[in-house]
Amino acid sequence: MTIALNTALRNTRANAIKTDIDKGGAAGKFRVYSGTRPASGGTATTLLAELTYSYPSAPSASGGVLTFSAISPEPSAKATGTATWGRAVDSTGAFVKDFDVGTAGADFNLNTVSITAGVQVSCTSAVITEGNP
Amino acid sequence: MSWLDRFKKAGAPEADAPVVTAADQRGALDPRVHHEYFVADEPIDGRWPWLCRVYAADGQPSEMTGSEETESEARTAAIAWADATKNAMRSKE
Repeated sequence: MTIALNTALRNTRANAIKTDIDKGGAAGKFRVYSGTRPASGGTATTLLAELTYSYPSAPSASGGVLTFSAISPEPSAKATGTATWGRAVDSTGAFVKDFDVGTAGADFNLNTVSITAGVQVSCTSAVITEGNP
Repeated sequence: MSWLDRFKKAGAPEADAPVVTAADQRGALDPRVHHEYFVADEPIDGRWPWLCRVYAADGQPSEMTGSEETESEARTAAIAWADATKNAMRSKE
């Protein structure tokens, strides 16, 4: 069954994510992993890279869409592997949200999903659309 | 210009040029070591449960759980355990 939310409610849900990422009082992190994505908040697989959100991470959502501000790249990937999913945490390490990653059409898009240790990894776009776009 | 400048080679750096050095890596953890923690959205039986994981450089997680009287105390306890665990790893590296 499809749930229909009004735009104000969609914005509230999207802004709650942004608030949680910023909750630590400094820039949150987006960690990129290889392997099978675990259940929400489950034990992480192999860490490939750690990118850094802006602080605050995004302006307020509009039209149910949260578009993140510039995300700093990981200058030197921590391991080699294929990026399959990512986890947002606040600056203190508190879990916020798990995402699918890709190079296009994902919630969090990278310049590549074929990551090589020591090579830069960057975000090309990060947008969350809440409710029914 | 001092008399020493006559020995200077073309293109040599100026004496007052900033010197960039690498950060002191002594005692630094492997950059793959990281932690994450979880605090319940609401208290259970009046206390705030938390779970913290520290991932070693090889990806192996260590876990600890606890519960505190407030959400803030739960966050603090989780972070404190993560720091202590990382310090223990640091002494082994």
